[in-house]
Amino acid sequence: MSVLALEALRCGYGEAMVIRDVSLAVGPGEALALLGKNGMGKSTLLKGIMGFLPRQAGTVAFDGRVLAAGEPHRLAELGIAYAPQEQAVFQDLSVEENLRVAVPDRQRLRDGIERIAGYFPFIGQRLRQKAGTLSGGEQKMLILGRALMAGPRLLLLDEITEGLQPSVIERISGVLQAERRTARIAMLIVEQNVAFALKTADRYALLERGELAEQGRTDEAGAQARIIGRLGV
Amino acid sequence: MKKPLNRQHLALLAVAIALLIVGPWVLPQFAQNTLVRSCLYAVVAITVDLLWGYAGILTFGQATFFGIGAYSAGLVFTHLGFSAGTAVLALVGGIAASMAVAALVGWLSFYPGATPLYASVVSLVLPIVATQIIFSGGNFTGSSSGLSGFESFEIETSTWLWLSGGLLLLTTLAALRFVRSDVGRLLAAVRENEARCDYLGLNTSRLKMLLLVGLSGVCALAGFLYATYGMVVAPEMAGFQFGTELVIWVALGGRGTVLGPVFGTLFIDLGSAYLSGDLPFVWKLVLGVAFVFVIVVMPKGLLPALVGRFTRRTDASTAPAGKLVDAEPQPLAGLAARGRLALHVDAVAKHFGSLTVLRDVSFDARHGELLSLVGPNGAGKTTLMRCISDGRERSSGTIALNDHDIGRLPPFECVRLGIGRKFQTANVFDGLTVLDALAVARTRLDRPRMWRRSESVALPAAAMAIVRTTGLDQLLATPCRVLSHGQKQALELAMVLALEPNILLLDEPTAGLSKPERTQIGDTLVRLAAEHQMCVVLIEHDLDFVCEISSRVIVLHQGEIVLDGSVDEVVHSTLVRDIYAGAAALPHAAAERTA
Repeated sequence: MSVLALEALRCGYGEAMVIRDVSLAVGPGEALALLGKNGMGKSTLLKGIMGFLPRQAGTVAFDGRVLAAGEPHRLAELGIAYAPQEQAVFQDLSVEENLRVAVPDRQRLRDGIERIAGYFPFIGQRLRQKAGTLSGGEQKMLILGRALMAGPRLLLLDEITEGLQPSVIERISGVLQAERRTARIAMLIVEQNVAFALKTADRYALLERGELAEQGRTDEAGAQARIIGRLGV
Repeated sequence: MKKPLNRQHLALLAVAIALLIVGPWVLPQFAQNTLVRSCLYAVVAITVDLLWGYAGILTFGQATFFGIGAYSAGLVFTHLGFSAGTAVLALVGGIAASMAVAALVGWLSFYPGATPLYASVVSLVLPIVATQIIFSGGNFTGSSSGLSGFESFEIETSTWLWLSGGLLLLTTLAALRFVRSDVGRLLAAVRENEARCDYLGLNTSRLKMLLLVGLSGVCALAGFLYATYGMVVAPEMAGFQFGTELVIWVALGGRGTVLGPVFGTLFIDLGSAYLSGDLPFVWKLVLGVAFVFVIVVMPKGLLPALVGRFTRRTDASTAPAGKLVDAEPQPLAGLAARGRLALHVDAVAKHFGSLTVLRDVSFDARHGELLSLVGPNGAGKTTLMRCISDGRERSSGTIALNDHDIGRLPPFECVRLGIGRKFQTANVFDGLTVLDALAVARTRLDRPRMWRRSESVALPAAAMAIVRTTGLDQLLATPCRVLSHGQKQALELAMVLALEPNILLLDEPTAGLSKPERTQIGDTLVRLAAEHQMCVVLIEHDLDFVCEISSRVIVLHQGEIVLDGSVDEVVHSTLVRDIYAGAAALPHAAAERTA
């Protein structure tokens, strides 16, 4: 059964930007890259799944169970982790406190920090530093680390590679693939970085003006060239 | 939003004038007496609304300015006697004293770096201090019993009603016009994002101070009229309780609407006058419960809740927008000449406590150079940009822009030296439309008008190019908060270019943008450097992009410059490969160059 299933979802902010009848499914251990030009509704779709936006029609189901809009905290309890694009770090809390928000339990916190620091060593070295004084790129790594802390079943990532140095992007791709293999996490990855997205995910979906324009497997011959062509006009 | 007053306003105006004319003929004496007071209170409530509802400054201190106007009348008429001359003296003196106190309070409340909470606390202290001063004035101020029995104008109540009602009408119209003007839009921008305004070259402290000083004069005028009408002044008029009541009336009526607070004040003050006599204790309870009810059920206040019920909300994106026009170039506005060097950075260091983020960073940059700052995440790149654009940031070292030492200048003064900074995360005005955001960015060069709103926004060619490339010109009436991340990035870049800087600091300007958009922005940057002789300093992680457009690259690692040279030198540096790119990610452009 799919971990995440959208059925003819419609949502948006007032009139301005709308997701129109999007249906898609992501299974355990599967990663779907959501691609598209700017302003095509990629971030809006993630916010719609999390229930931050009112839904006009359609359903969002997690493990076959239909989720209500307007209760993002319930989704987090169910095992959905969301790494938003903007302003997602508690600036005045320390690195450790930012991680503790995701996992209140002490033992699990220690284990989690050990695991995350293995991925991003700076996190282990600077647990007491105020998260707001981290650089922009380090904050992105902290956001990803926090999303992985609780061992989610579904991970929603919004442009996680933005502002990161190439070697860190490589590492993140590796981390995500490892998490998929070992923990069977389902992932929905919104990206501008097409190369990263295709390398990390096994399927892709192209969003155009709020609608699904194309779907396919990332290992298909010529997928990258076709997508870049489609995005590049 | 285009016209200063819409049709509903004109209808209301006609009704208000009609009521004012017939009021004295049909209303009982008691109601007339109370209404004179209510109208004057409503004038003060409008000033609270402008400060709180529009500029975002919650204030409890407006009562004191009202009290100063009232006491000016009371003191002058008691001690100097009443005549036309002393009346003018009391009026002018009251307004002047009120504005002087407001200037002092404004200076205390809005110094750069003061938080909004601090301003509210100062506004709380003000009426308490004012009341204490009146209490300790002995016979001169009448202490706790105030002053009474002085002579004043002998005018019919009906004339007073016309006077105070007329003043309320005028104040309301002026306020409605003001909030729809260029300056009104500026206030909204300051409320939304003060830091961005600062980096757009706007002295936000001065703007808030001028607003407070101007409005304190209006309060003093109302206070003067109140004292000459009632022929009594009491410490409560300047007190904390009245200051708080004003806030409650504004909140109940609907803050940020001008009309809501007017109706709120008239309704509650008139209601209080009738009911507090019959139900002295219950009335306060009723008012308190009503306040809680409104806060919970109608958090925006009564007027917005009522209006929202009867009228269809017009979506902002369907409202008519202004248009963009090409600006006359105003290069180096505020500078005598461009500097010999665009940017001079000498031995700059920055510590956060014991953590050293930058150490001994020195480099120069000329006009026409496109300099990229690269380095691992956490190397100190953004911190360096912050130090260059805000004199208060660095721990030691010197920085000069266009040959002017920035010393400890705040960002808005640095902007005058020719610098423009784009932040790392898109930093725009969420509540404003795209057009408004661009207009705010042009404030430094195109003076804003106080009573009118400009129909068009003039943009220099570079900003216009960004707006057109990214399709923002099709979204002028869209509120910034619904823009996508990439659109916000582009808008901020356009806003910075609208400043017509000759030193451009760009922190990841293309993050969140697609490849073709990046290419187009890259072309624009190259043109700005080559044709307009701008000095562009760029933080960027996409090494391909960096190699394509830069004329020079500085590599920062752990707060120090480890390499400063041409694109080729950086590309062939094993150091860069080790600390930054990772073996697999050697840029394509670099590979081609080597081949």
